[in-house]
Amino acid sequence: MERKARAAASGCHMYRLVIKDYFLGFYRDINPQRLGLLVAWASIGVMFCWRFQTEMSQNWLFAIPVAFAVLSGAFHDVSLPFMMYLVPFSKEQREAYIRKSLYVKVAIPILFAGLCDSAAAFLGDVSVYGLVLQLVTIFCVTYICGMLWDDTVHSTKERPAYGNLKDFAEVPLVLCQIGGSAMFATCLYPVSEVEFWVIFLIEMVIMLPLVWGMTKKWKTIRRNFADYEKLGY
Amino acid sequence: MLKLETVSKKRNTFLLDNISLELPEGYIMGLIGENGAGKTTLLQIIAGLLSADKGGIRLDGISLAEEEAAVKQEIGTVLHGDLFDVRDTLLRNGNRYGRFYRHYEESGLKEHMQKFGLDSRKKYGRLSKGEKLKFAMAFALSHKPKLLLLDEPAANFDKEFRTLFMKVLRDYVAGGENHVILSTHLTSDIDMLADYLLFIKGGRQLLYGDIESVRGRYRMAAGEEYKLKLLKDRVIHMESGEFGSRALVYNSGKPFDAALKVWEPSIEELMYFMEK
Repeated sequence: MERKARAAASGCHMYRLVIKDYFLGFYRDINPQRLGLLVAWASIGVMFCWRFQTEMSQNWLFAIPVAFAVLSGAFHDVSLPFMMYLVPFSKEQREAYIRKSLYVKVAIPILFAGLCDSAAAFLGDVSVYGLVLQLVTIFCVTYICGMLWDDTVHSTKERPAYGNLKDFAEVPLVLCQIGGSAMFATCLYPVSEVEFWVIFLIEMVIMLPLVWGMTKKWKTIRRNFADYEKLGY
Repeated sequence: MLKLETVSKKRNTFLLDNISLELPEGYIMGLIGENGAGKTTLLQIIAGLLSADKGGIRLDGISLAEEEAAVKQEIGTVLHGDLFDVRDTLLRNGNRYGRFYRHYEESGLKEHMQKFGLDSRKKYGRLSKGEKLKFAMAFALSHKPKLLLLDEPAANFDKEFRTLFMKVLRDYVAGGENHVILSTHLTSDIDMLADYLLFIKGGRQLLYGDIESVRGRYRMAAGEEYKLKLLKDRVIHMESGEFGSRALVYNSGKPFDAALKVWEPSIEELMYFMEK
């Protein structure tokens, strides 16, 4: 057991824990807001499927990863489960755990998108424009939500851990949800070059400053979330 | 040995101020105080959830502030609330967090759960308040810590389990290697279990020491009010009633008036009069 305890705290094994926690997070941390999101997305899916079932079979493979990314962003907290603040982890180890969790929160949806895109390419032509928009959106949504989402969108006002972001951290999270939903709908149809550039530029104008700003704040945020006191309980 | 040196912590308007104690291995310390005195805050500081603003905590000479992970290996904590994942079974919860502890054994957890009447396949979220505390206790014992911190668990246990709970605690310290800090409102638990007593009020330490010497520092005196008033500075607090007066007084070694009835105070009397 001593070996396992040391392993649990070490690098590679920490990734194993983080990945396991990522998948467990989909059912472990359900709350009414998350359930609402799930129902909303399922309804959108059923609605589109019902109306356009003959037209978009290949494009579904393009759009589903975006839906997955949006849901994934909302289903994983940046803070740790309570027991993780009691178990024999130092603050630095908790910080490392949160940092690695972000990498996993971004990597898994992108890998999933890669799988779906490969399947889509196998079935027919894949638009490069659509591919770029999809991957950029998935990255931005999972990156920003991975840093900020904790329990509900409104938790940002209750947690001292957000520091001076407390009063407006809700905004990027809502933008991610709206942007992700819009991109989901976009991915269901072929994208022309003009449409690509318009959407891409809008996304860059909105998302790039957010990604840059959050990256600058990330060290402070994860340090705070590694400290139980800063969670505001 | 658990050592706290002038531990202080400010949380909003509340101040836990200058708590110092030394608890040797093999003993149980009762932590008593009214609601809001700072008992839970103190336990959370020792458990490493909160950090002290001032002062230090050492377990067997190792500083909690400097070697958090190493000290936490030796601490088992039983707190109120949802400590574990509500959608997971007890066994999965235990294994998930137990793997961080050097001495954790699944067999140990199962044994304690069985002893406490818990079904390992049950989901944590479906447990009652008392069962959650039992599970927290089973988990804490399963990784064989040197220090067990218990935040008012006994009030939620039925009479039958309380007997078992007391036996478990006595057996836990019997080897002379472990310590227990038991926060409780039930002075009967202190009378039956505790070797040491820490009494805090408003965040301040009013009393600390082994129970015999703490009780030996004071006396209860009952009789005529005017006779009690003659004790002057020795009186900590006096209450007068229809049938006479009684007071908690310092036992300075000086003899008492023969007309007064004098006895060593119980923990309950100590608490009651110190609170006043």
